[in-house]
Amino acid sequence: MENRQTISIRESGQTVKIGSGLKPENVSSLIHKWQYLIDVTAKNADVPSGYLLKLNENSIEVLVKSNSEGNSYEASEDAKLIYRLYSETVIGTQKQLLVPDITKNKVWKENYPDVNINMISYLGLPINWPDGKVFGTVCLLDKKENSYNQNYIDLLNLVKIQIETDLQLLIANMELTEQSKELKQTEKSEFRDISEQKKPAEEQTKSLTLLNNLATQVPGVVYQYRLYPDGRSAFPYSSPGMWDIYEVTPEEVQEDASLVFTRIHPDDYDYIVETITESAKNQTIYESEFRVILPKQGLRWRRSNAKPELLEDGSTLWHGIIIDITDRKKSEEALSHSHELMKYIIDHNQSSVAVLDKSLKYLFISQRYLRDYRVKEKNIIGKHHYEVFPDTPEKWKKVHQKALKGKALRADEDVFYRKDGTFDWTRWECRPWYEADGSIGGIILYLEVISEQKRKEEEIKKLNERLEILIDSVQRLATAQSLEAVQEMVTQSARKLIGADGATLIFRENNNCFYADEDAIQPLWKGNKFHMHSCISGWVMQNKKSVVIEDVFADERIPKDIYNHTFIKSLAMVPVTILEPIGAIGNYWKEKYKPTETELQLLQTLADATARAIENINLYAELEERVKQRTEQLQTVNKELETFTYSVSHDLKAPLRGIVGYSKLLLDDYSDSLNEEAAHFIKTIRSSTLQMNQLIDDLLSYSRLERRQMKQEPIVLKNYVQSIVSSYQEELDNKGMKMEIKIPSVKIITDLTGLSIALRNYIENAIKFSDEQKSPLIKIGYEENPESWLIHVKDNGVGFDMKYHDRIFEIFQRLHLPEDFPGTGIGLAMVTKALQRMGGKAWAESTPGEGSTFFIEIPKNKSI
Amino acid sequence: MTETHCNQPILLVEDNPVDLDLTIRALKSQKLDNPILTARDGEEALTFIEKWENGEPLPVVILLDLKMPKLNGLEVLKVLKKHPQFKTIPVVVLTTSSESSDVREAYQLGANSYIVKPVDFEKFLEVAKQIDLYWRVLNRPDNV
Repeated sequence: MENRQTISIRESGQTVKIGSGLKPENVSSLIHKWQYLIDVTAKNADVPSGYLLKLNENSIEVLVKSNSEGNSYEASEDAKLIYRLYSETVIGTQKQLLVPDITKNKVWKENYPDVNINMISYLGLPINWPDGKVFGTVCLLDKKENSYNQNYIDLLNLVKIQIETDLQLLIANMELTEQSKELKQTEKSEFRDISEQKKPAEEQTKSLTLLNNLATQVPGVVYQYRLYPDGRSAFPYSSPGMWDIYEVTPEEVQEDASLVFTRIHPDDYDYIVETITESAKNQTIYESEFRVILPKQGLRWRRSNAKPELLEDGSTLWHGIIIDITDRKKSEEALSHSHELMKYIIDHNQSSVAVLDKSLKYLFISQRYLRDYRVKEKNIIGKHHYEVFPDTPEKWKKVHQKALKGKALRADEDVFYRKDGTFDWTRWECRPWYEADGSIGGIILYLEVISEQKRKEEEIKKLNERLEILIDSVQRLATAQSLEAVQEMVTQSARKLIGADGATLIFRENNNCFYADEDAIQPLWKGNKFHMHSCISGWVMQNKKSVVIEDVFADERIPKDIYNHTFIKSLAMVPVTILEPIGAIGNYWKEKYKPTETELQLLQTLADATARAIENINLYAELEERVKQRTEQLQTVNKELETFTYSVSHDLKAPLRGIVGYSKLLLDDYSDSLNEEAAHFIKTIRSSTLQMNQLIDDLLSYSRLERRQMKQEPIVLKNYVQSIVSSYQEELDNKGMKMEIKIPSVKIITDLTGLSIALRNYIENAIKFSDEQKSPLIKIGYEENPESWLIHVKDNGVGFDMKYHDRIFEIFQRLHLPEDFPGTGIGLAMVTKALQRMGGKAWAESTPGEGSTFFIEIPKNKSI
Repeated sequence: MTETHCNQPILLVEDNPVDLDLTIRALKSQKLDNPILTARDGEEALTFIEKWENGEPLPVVILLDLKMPKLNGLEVLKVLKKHPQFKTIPVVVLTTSSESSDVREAYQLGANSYIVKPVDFEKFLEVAKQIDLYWRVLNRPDNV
């Protein structure tokens, strides 16, 4: 039954050609019949479309489509795809398929996201050949949701049965024809040509008419072409389509085909002749695609297929068709161009790109890909990926497999090892690409070698770390207070700063280089001295510049005997300079190493910071020495002052006691012998002396205040003030004075002795200067400021002129005569002194005749 | 005042003649019958130790000035208060100095009292009264 497979039915579908021996009218009438059936069914079912589809080797073709109104599905490629998908499902399952609404069907919708959703509903049934092989499908389609009620399903089933019956009949008919033809050929072959000639003319005419009728339905031309043994050729029969194809009439070429050959494109002429000759020689199917140049249509593409038949006279007669394929060729050209374009784009892509097919063979690559992967071969298109990279690791093979299964994979940073052991940092992506039908066509590899970027990142990171070390070192050096601390910090930082194996700090001592400190993997020369001329640090200091020595044993400046026993292979050294180089910092490596310019700069910065630190320490030491001297001076002065006051208190007072004592004895024991005036004089002597005594006492207290140790204590202010006031209570009562204390219950922290001195003086003053008032009133109040506590003592006494408000706080300053208000003029000076020592302030406000207010301000959080 | 005490002297250590005279007068004005022995500097004060060892009567109280030529009062105090036998003799420091360091040191060395010499003679008399009271209290039978 091989011949069944050779039946080919044009998509436009009204008519058909022909398996060998199958008479065209058979098929033609069937198509007509099926067209009618489909039309009727679609109309009855009230749907826009009905189709009969046929499965070919690689495609599904539309055999019949309903001519019903509104059938618009033929145009769209998407639509073709979906009724193929529908019918493929029906063919695959061999069952009726009903999709009432594709948009509501999750599986369909998700699997075929590109569907033209206008093709909403589908009802289809499989159609098979009598022997059970697949013929195709018959279906109904609707643009809206449709559940196709049972009547329509029955109707479509009837159509199915009818078509399958027709196929059965067709096959039976075909077999019969074939058998009878074989019979004819075996029995009367030598007469065949004659017998055909003997056919009645009438019959021939009838058959030709039928053929013509059929042929007019076919696009292009249906023809017979005969090549005679002598090389002549003709188109004994050609359908009217000959005009469309060659712009010649069938009559013009019936006897001689040469006119047709004038239409062939000169470049294709030889090819045509060759192809015809070969088909004739081997009696193989003639197939060609070629160009014609036509007077009206111009350049067009044609395709011809024909079956040769060897005739008795040695001629070959081809039965075939020629169709116009210009449109297809154009789209093929366009496709080819887009392929070329894609190749061009990928080829020149600035990153590495490779497109591989399903079997991992290269389709496209960018030039960059070849460079990045260091592929020496220039043309790897068509080669297998693993053939180009034989040692592709398992990891990558897995990635490829996953991509081929539809998974896109990527990595932003990945190490790519090469055969030679080197590696690159890469950023890659591997993803599948898809064929038009949605299946995976292969994979795309994107690659970017980011080693350089990575290297720069690492470099920046390293530099940042070093800058941090440097900043930290500079900060710590700035606060270093001893040379020992500086030495330790510098050597440690210098070594860490550029990752050396050792660091030393060298100071210049006259003509020697003194290795003051070191931090190294093995001991170097700490504590040793070398002459300036026999030491590289001496060279650095004398030349006032840094030095890098990559190989110490190849440098003349290096004393080999000193370096022989050390680990050092390379070194770098920078001078430490305050006006002139005072030292140097050395860095050493056990392997050959050449520090970069940046590293040397870092080291020099550290050296500069070291110089500043040493400068500071020198200054600091100088300052400290000066402070020490001053302190000593002060201590001496203090000692002298102490001795002085001691003497004052002791020796100055002794004579006073004599004066006072003997005046008293004089008054007591000799009062009888003294007249009134003499007694008065003696009394005056006595009171003057007592006053002098008071003066000395106050002066001593004042001087003692200066030397007194301060002591901060928390107190409840109100209680404290009350306890002080209570010691004056008797005096206040005696003098008929009132005292008001308005202080909230607060705690303050202060020096109690200082506060007591201030309060007592203020209270005593207030009592003294209110004495003469009618109703003396003393008020003690309190106020809290953000930064301080404020206490005031207010009286309604005589007051003072504000222009003296400063002077009254100075020592020995008095505003009143001693006989009016006794006093030494030291009290307020003591208050000032006490508050100065406490970090506070004392002042007064007054209006003469109305009273005064004296203030004490004590700072909070004053650490003394 | 008990009989025994009446015969016991008071030792006054004072370099200043004025103070010496005034102190004696002040003590006398308090009707104290005890004999008053004097020493004019620290060295002289310490010579009494030998006398006491030889059986001379011990003083009921020693009034000790601090600032004196040769040995000062604190040095005298130190020696006295370390003496196994005579350390129990009450010592009243009678001085012009009101320096807290002097006060502190005097007490640390074992002074029984510290009195600042008043300039006013009336106050001096008060002090004398205090001294009298002081050693009377100190020598009450239950304290012996």
